[in-house]
Amino acid sequence: ATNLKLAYALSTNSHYGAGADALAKTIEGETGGEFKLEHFPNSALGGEREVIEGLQLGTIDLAIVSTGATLNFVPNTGVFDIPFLFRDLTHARKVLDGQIGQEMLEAFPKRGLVALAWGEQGFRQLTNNVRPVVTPDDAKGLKVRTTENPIHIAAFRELGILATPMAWPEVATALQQGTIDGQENPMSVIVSAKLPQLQKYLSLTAHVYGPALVLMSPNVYNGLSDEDKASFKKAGHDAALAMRAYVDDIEKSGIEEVKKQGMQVNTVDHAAFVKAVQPVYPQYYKQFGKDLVESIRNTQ
Amino acid sequence: MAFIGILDRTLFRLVSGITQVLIVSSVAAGFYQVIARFILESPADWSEAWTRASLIWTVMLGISLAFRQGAMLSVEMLHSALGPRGARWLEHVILAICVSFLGFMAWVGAQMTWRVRFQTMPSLEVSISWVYIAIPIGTALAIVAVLAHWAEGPHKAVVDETTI
Amino acid sequence: MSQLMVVSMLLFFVLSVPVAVSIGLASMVGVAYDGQMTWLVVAQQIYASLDKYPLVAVPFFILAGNLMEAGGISERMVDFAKSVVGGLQGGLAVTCVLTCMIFAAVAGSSVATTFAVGAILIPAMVKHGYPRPFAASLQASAAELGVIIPPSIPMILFAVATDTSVGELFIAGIGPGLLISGSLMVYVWIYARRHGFGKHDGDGRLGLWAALKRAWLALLMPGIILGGIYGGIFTPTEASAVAVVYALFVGIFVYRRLSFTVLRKTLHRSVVSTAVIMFIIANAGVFGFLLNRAGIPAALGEWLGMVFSDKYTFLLGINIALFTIGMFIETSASIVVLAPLLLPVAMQFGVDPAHFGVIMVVNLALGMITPPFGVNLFAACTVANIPLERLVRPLLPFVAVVIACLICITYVPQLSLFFKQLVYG
Ligand code: NA
Ligand code: NA
Repeated sequence: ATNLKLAYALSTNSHYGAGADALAKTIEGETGGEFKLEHFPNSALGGEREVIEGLQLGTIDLAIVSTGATLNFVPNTGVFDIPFLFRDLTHARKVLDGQIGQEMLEAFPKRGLVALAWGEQGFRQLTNNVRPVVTPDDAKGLKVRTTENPIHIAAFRELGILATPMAWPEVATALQQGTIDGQENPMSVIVSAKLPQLQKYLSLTAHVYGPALVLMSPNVYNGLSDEDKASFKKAGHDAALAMRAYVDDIEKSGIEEVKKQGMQVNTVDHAAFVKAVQPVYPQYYKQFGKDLVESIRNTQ
Repeated sequence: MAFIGILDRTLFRLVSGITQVLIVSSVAAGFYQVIARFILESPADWSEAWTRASLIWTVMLGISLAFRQGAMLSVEMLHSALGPRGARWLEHVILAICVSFLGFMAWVGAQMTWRVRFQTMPSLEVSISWVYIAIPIGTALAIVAVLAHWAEGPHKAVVDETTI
Repeated sequence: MSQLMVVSMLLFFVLSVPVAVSIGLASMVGVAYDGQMTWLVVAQQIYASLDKYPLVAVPFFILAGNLMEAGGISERMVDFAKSVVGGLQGGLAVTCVLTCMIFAAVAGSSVATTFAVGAILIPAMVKHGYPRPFAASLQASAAELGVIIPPSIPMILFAVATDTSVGELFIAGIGPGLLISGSLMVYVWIYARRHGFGKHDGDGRLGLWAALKRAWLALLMPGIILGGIYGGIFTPTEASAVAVVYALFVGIFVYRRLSFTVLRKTLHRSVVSTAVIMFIIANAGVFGFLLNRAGIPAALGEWLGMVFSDKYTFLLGINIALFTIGMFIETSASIVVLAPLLLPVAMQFGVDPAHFGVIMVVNLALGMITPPFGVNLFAACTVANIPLERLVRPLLPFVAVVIACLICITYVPQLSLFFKQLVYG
């Protein structure tokens, strides 16, 4: 039996963990135990950027990562990070499973990577300590920690949010001391990082859809038989389904959970936000092509 | 010989000057980040990336300065226990080990620089190779530094000034 | 594989090969042993280990410490401490501890503290008749506070390596820092009385008011750093940049000690120290990646869980292991390699992460003053201009005092957690 190393940034008890379990189960089952997965959760093998490099080098065999990291390797994957691009989860899943998503997976081998499937993190939501955010005006002037993702940052700026890129280990302290007012993450992270203890308001902005990718090192993949390749593809697919199931559940149960912990949860005027970020779209058109952005938007 | 001496001094003075500018620029970026967020209320998105990049350059160039003045931290017990001849022999061995190690680093660093050329750095929008290349350049300079230090002849065990 | 890597690292240490190179070579042994892995991983992980924002605090605190010394801030801190406690018999020795405490609340490093305070106080103590080896050992020991009282570079390294909160760890260091300072002060005061040293320590010291007036800008510095962090103005990492800017400003414009030439020398010195430490950290990163990839943390965790049945014996075992390691290995390298291995196990036994971080940092700070390999000792010997072996005897009681404090810190978690709970609830 061959042991393969699987890396991801969150704990085993997360959407990534759920995907990783499903991935391992299918691979072991389909190949009759010939391949076994060794899990490295919690960034044990490094941050997402380094992990993807590791896949290219063959020091890591499999990984579940976000598009925030892949956009530096396959720039077009950043298109899904455009704020207010998707109406809902169904819309996003349809695009990723359709031609647009599948063609993008095929761009990975050119960068020395194999993409098995699109997974999912869910929509990113905004938390803060100042006020409930209902309209774009409420968001103005909030100091919000963001990831170092230029696509997100451009839209936050347009909304008047003071987007502050900050390393994750510093965030808890910074929220506590008021160095920043808020942060934004998928529901799963908001619950697992104990943010209700640090933040008063959760506004369901659903501003960015967070896809995830199940990636593999070509070092391993290219040496597989066609039959095994199919098994790995199927495993990637099962991992994606598991992540989606996890997200479906946490989008409901997570909100209940944070309410129970005293967080004030509110819905937002979605149409107003969509309108408010429109001025950034020409920039996104330039970056990804107007055709691509519009065909994603218009997918029914 | 005098020519080599001048070359040696000029080279490492230049490297020292560059690293000084780099470390000052990263302090400036770090401080600006505080001002931008707290006073100007328009946080900078490039400052963290710049600070990290210039720090990697500072470290990789800085090791050549450290090797040049023999400031690299080591356990000196064996070296100081040996007599002058033995100590010099040990210095030859250490020289060979360090040069091989740094040569290897320069080689793998150059290959990595080439391999990552399509990877961009978020916020700075340039290829990450511009930072990676600090590894081969720094370690290649360090080889020169190790040789120059060794060529000066036997050294007393240096008590380091390392700060931690 | 891991045994082979550790053994080859120690072998290179013994050969007097630079520490960073030894760790890097040991990693290469690991890659060679694996057989399947590309050599490029060495360069990749060197880059990855340096590319972490919270790490920038390391060079910035080194620079801040050097600027404070060159710019006259350290000197004024000493004058102030002397005016407070200098009147006691042995007051100069107590002054040394107090100055280190003040300095520690600004700088995150022990060797920076040794240089900055020792450069002034060791000559002063010698002039007042203290034995040179005693003065040097005292300075080396008190400078440990630099990493125990926040801010602290090893604490930042611990937090980065384990993804825990820097702010909470900092706060947890306050109680233990006060305990160690107090114990050291009591020890040197008793020592001075028993041996009849320091009867005229108070001569020529400034009055409290005059010293305060002269030193207020220097004394404001800890307030600005800690106040800024806990007042939400900057993060613990950014605080290091603020410290540099403050030291520059005061040194250039107020005390007018930092000429262009002095500045360039100070920058050069700081770059060299930075490179030495950070290159060790970078190579330790490669080493750590290979150990992680081989699944060592999980295995070690299982082993420790089996060998030790409860929290108390586990902590005892950890202390003995860390003390032994600290004798031989450089602090930051040990933290970067060991913290991710040990913390998960400690948490299984119900030890608070911040408490465990403090135990590790105090242990490894102790390592800075234990021969044969202790950076504080090297620094103190340089300042005092004496060979290392003369330090060993006067050092023993200091080590004993710190060990006694360490036992209290380990088994009385409230010492670390009291302030943390006060701030974080
Ligand atoms: Na400190
Ligand atoms: Na030691």
